[in-house]
Amino acid sequence: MNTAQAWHLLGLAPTEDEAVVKRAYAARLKLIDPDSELDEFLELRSAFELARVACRRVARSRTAKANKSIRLPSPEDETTVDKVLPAEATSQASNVSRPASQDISNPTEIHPWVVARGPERKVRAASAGRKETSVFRREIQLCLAGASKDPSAQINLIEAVRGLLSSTHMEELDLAAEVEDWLGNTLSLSIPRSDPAIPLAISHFGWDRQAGRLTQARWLPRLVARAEVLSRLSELADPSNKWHAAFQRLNEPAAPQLSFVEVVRFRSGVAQLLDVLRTHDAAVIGWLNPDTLEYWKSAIGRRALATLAPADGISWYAWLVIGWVLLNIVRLFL
Amino acid sequence: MIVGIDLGTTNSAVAVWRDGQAQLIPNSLGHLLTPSAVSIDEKGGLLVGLTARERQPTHPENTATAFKRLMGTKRALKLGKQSYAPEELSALVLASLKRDAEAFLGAAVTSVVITVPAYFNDKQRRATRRAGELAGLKVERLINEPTAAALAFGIHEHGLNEPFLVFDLGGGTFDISLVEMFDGVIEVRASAGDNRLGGEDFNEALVDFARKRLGAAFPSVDRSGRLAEVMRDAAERARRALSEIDEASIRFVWDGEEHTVAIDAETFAQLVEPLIVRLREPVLRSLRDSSTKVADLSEIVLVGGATRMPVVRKAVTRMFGRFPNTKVHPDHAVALGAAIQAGLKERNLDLQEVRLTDVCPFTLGVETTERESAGSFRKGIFSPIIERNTVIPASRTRSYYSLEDNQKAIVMRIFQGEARKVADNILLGEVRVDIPRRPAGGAGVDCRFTYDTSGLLEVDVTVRETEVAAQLVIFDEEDVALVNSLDARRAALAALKIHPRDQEANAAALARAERVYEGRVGNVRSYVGDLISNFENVLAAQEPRAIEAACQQLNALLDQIEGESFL
Repeated sequence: MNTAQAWHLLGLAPTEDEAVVKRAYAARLKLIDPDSELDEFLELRSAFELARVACRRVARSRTAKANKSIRLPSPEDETTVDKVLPAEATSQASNVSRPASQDISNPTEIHPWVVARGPERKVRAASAGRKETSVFRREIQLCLAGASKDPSAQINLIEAVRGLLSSTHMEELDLAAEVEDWLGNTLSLSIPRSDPAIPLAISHFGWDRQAGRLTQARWLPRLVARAEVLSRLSELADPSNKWHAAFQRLNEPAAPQLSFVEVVRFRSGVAQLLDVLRTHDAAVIGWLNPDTLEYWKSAIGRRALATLAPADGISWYAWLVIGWVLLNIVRLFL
Repeated sequence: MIVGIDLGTTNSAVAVWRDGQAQLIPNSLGHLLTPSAVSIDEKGGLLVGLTARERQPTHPENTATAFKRLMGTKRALKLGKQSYAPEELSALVLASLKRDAEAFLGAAVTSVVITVPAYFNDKQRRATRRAGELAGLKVERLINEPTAAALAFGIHEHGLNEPFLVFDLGGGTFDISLVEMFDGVIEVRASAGDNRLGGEDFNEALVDFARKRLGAAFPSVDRSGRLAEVMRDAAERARRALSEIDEASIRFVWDGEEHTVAIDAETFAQLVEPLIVRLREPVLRSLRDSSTKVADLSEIVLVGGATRMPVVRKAVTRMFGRFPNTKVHPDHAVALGAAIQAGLKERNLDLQEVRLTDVCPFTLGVETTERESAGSFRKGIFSPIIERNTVIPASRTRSYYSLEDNQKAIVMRIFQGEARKVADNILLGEVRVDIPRRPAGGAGVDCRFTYDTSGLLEVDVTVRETEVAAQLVIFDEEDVALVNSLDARRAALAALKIHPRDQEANAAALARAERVYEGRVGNVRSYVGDLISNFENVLAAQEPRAIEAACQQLNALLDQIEGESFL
């Protein structure tokens, strides 16, 4: 079924008014019994859904156009504004004395944020929560923009995320959902700077439990995978871990300058650790310094070659070949 | 005549559409709610409802409650010498409600609409339908509990243009439905839930609290399972008291010794915090699935006995930033909605302008294997066919192809759930079809899922080339056995001697008195003992009017001792 057929089945000319579509669907639904007339119901239902999608598409493009024409003052990060526009805009509209009031005269031109959405009281409560959380959000962004290795920035980040998550306004579902999306997105975009805050956010929202789901946010698997890497890294950084020494060599921030003796000392340990990581935690390898990794790979590679060629020199059959060649040369001259 | 039955974890109710409205039917005790409890007395007679529930602490080995939580499992419950499947116990409750309805309506009741939690899976739904059949009823339709509640609420609300949310926390299950209404169409847009969360979990939290608080003093010897029942009863009473006042105590008698643990509302709130947290996720999910914001909701409708708890109400108020609507009766709404659905089913003239559509609350699909770019296989990947929150009845087809050269057959394993890996989903059954031998990917099958209005699934698999079809309607072999023995089992249940209807009130009062007797010590106990022997004397005299008066008096005196009886 295409959209044209859907309009035909509903007995409507294409319209943008969802209420008209619903009315037409309701009238036709009352003529059939979904239990016994399955095919008729399925047909009507898909016509209804197609028509409704068509309605919303028109409404959305209208909204998008309207958004471009009127610039809303945004107290928060701009990237979040276009995502969460309707509710955000509702709250702002009440703050900035309804910027689009001239449009009310023409009902078809009403912009979505001017449409009254329930009593004013609700809107105001939501905007109070938004104001409070936006302070934390700005703080988090500042921390993420700052120097990543600075320990005080890390502590500030954790504090800001904790403050955001424990805000009493987070009890409100709309705000919580909005913050969840924003935080997940922000944290995943600023890995590894956001590392200290990731476990906190994951345990708060239970993202690890959602990781295997069919429908999930795009940033979610990235964050969960990063958390796994982090927990493995912290395990390896523990001095009691048997790979600790080898891991320290691998985790140096720049390619090391080691003497031959030191290389020989750590070479086998590092090689074994790399093997273990490759089979069990391949993701961890991706987070190591590539120069350091390359250095050790070549060090291990040299040793691998050395095992092929025994230390006591060239093997006996090589001598045999050389001897045979020499013999032939001599015979050539004779 | 079709009636609507709310088959609950703790209580059940029956209602009928009559004279243009849904009406609850009282049972033989005159109560609108019948506890979902079954007990067998010393003479092998069957007791259902309040009498059975009162016997729970005194005769746990002969009594069963909360068996709805076991529906669809193979766990059998022992009552005396005989053991019963959860669906058989449900059938006994249904049969008792059927008798009540017939006595009230003066007509035979042949068909029924039964409510199930929205999050009940296919096995649990099938078990519920079998329970109806075992009770000698034709199950016209299974309807989701929050949907029924929405129907009961929505039928009186006109001009609600914005969607409303039904928050249904019952004795054993938690369901959320987001419902939209327009022009007489009541349309569920999204459902979510947790079928392991309900009032019983709050009781358990209280029992754990008492156990920790009493420490070494807590009785440890308990072979009969009686202590658990005594504790549960005590916890339930304390929980109900906490809904009214700020302080209560969990009080029980074990081995002639009385134990009391005081608890205040604040401690209780802390205690159940982990349960309260679990209420959030289904709500969030239903809102996300229907892309609705809380600000867009017109009402939050509370249903289910457990929503009476102030902790739950407070949590709801905080979550939604406003007060919930408590206009519908939390215990009656579901049964009334079932009666409305029964009226719809009968094509009642009053309901001509009403239509209801529901959704499938979970995703249904099959197991597939993917070939990775390296040539290796990735097994156990879930391929959804009917996505969650699709309007039902629904029918969807997807095609699948053979994986290897000369493959002989394709086995479709059918799963329900939201995880990418089938191992994390629930297996519903499997269908096997033979396919013509072709190179890998050469043989294809069409897999058609049809999900009916009762939430029951039918699977048709057709081989493209040969048009050989295989069908799956009934799942595992054990189910087939269960269905084959349906008549025999129905006869066995019908043969149980039912306690005479007119003596039900006396039996209930006596069972209650016995429970109070065992639950007290000292003077109160001997006083209750006197009451029991007095009442037994009156019963022996067989004077109807005197018996009725004595029964009322006994209940009133027991009310004085332990507070009013509750359902």
